[in-house]
Amino acid sequence: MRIFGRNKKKASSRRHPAGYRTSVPPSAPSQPPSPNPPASDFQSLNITSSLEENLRQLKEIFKGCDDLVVRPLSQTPKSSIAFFKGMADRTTIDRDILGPLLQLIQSPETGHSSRLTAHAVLQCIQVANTFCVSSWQEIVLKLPVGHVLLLIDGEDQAILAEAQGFETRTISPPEREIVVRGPDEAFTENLETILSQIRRRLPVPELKVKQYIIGQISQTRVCLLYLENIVNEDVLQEVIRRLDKLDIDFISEGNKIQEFISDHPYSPFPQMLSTERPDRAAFELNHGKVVIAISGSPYVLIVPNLLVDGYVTVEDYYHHFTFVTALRVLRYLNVLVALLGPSVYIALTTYHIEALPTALLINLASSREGVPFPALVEALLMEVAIESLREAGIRLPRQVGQTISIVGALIIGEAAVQAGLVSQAMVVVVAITGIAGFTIPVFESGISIRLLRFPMMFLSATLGMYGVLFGTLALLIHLSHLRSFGIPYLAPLTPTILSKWKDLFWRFPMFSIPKRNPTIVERNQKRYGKPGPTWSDPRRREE
Amino acid sequence: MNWKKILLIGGVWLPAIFLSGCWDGIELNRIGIVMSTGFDYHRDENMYEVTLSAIEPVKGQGGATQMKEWKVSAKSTTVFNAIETLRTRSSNQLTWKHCQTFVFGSGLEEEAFRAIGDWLFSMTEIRASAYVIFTPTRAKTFIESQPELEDVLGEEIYGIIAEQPRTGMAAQATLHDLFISAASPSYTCVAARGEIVHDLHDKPVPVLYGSGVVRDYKFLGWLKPEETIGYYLARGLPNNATFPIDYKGEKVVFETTQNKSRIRPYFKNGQLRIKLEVSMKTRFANTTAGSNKIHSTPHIIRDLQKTQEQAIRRIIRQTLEKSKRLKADILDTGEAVYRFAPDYYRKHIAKWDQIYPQLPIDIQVIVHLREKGQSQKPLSELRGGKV
Repeated sequence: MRIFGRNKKKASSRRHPAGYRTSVPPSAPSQPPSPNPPASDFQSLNITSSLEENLRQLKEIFKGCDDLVVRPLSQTPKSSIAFFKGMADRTTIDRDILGPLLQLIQSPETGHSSRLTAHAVLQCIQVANTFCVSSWQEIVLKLPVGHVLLLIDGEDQAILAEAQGFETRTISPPEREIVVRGPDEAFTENLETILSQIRRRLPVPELKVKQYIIGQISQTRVCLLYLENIVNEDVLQEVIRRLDKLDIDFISEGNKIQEFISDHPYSPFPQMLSTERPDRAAFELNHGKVVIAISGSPYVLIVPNLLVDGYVTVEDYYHHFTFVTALRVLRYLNVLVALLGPSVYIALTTYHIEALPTALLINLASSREGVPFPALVEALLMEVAIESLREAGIRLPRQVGQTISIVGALIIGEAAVQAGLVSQAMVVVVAITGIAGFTIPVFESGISIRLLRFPMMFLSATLGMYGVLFGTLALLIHLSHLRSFGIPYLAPLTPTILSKWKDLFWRFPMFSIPKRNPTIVERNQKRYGKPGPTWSDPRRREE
Repeated sequence: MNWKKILLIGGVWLPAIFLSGCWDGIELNRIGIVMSTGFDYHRDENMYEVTLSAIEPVKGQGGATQMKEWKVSAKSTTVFNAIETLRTRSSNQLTWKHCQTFVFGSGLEEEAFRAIGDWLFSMTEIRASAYVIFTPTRAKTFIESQPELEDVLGEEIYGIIAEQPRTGMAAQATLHDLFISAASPSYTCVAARGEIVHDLHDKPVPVLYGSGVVRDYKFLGWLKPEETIGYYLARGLPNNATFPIDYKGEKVVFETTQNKSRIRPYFKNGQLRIKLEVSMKTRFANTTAGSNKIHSTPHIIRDLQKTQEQAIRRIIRQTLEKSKRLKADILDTGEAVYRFAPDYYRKHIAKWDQIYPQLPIDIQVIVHLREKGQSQKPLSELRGGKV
């Protein structure tokens, strides 16, 4: 693995709170992915040839599960079928499983029942994913997620047929990562849909999918996706190693995995990117990253995630580069405003009034007339009010939420000024800061900036601009210390990769960025062939 | 955490003790912003009088800003005591961080002036970029006058003085210039002269007219407005200064548009001489009504340029003669001599006020009349359909 900087030794020796090392030595062998079943008694149990014994075992394992349906199928030989109500599709069971089975049992030509064997059942069931299992472990994993179990007396194998039929959400437009131009679809909670949405965009055999079962209780299916010919092998092995080591009970969303396998879980900066957009996932796969899709979560995780990834949207590649450049400059300015806006205001108005133009100072002083609190308390009041409104806007019903957040902000701001609690200038500063925070495209990156705004405010209120600079330097030191699966978090700023700067604070035309990010991609860096501007004018060509 | 980290964190936090901290913070609504400060000296009482104009911004109707001006003066045996007396009379903490003008009244003797200057130099709150005004009246009278256009006197004076390099009627100098003139043996501070005139309603209003010359806290004399224009022309400053010339019995007024000047010391027959090169671009400002002699034909333009050069040379020469009479090196030729011949400068700088009046200064002026106006002939000639 390419280990950057002098932290090589330290990185390999650092222990993650979850129990594993955060960076693996280069020689660490990769382990093949393996399911992570719950440690129960049935792990070592096998299917027996006695149907009664098997049914007894089944009822013992799923004791108290009233939604488990077990019904006899035939008498000679005795057979039974089992499935979970609501998880398996009734139509599929009736049409594609029971129908052919009954036809097999009662042969139409002879009127006599034919011998029911596992082999014959496999041949007659009209479900694509049908297979034999010999251990209870597989049954315990598959039956609750919509498979149909068929047990036959005299057979030491059971048959599982995939007949999932629970209700899922249809593909809908993204709610968080909205774009003006670009595909208008988001991931759903269904893992198969997620995989199909990505594979549709990358229909190549190099797109590999590795499946895991994570969560002793939740038994959540997690898929690891990567492009074999582009992915950074070291990052991939590191992700596999960390996922293999995961030993948790329940997963409902990607953040749990994120907290367990991030390099620096205490850092407010996200080291894994989550996205609801299939095009973004495909884009990142094409840039050598690894995607982790979780069943039940409409967001996929992308690793490694660098600082600059949080301030880039996939839409940046859907518009003309001049427009995108302007947007990116604006976005980075807004990051600074969102982080430092209130703190710089506090520092300037409390300690450094000489740095303000006289006319502005006079206006600010008049707006603060009658305000009983110091600037810090004033800023905290407004920030807390705005953050509370934002939180309330999310929790409230959608129809009410928007009204509450906008009207509430206006009313509270105006009322606070009228009551003399805060100054008008502070309302403006907090409003500008809030708006600037909304321009950060990745939610997690925006959260980290929102969070860090508060310590910066305290620093500026106690030390003025020195405090602001001190806080900023501390942040930079922290950021330069971070790694995302072995990749420096500040790349390509540091270590400096000037070629990647063409797509950083601004974006050059696509044809001038012919290579993938060398920090992440070590093989197959080339993306484009002959650049566009060499096209000659057809009229001249004819001449 | 190893000792290196402790040292690093401690090292970063250590300056915090010596820098500003929460104990230095003051909220905006607790400050009184001093806009102008005046200094007078009463010789008979041996007292300093400090007058200041401070503002306290208040919220007006609909949240608009209103400024309440507070003019007050205090006398004491020292400037510091007078300032402290003023502080005790203010409900807000007075700050000089935005004081834009410092007015020095008449009758400031060298020692008193030096005491004030030294106090200003040691004061950390002031801006060295604040403007300096010398007034032939008392500074208190000047500050107590009423502004015509602005709410606050300081704002009005600041606006007027900021415009001076454009028109050239009064010199523009800052505290920085005043301090340099106290430290350098050759540098002279040429600052605006503030006067009180009465407007149509007999209200005393401040105007800036001419300049005062000070070196090493010693008042040397006044420059008239036309001499001030000469000073600006020699310094390559005024962009919109006007000057009249006589051309074939007609009064023609020109306005400068661009101006550059260069001071070149040189030795001739062992004697130090100065060559002042002035290059400027001008345009027509006004001609006498009914004139039919000013046409933009090439030879007239050349004549006009020559006449302008002579006029400007004459204005600058008058200014320099005045400065020699005052023994004030207003062009700071000493600095140019130091760059040209440091040894000569070191040897003679102690008696520069004696050398400068004897210093031959050759004035070379080159004028380019660039903008000749749109109408080549007077409108009076067009009357009656005559073209």
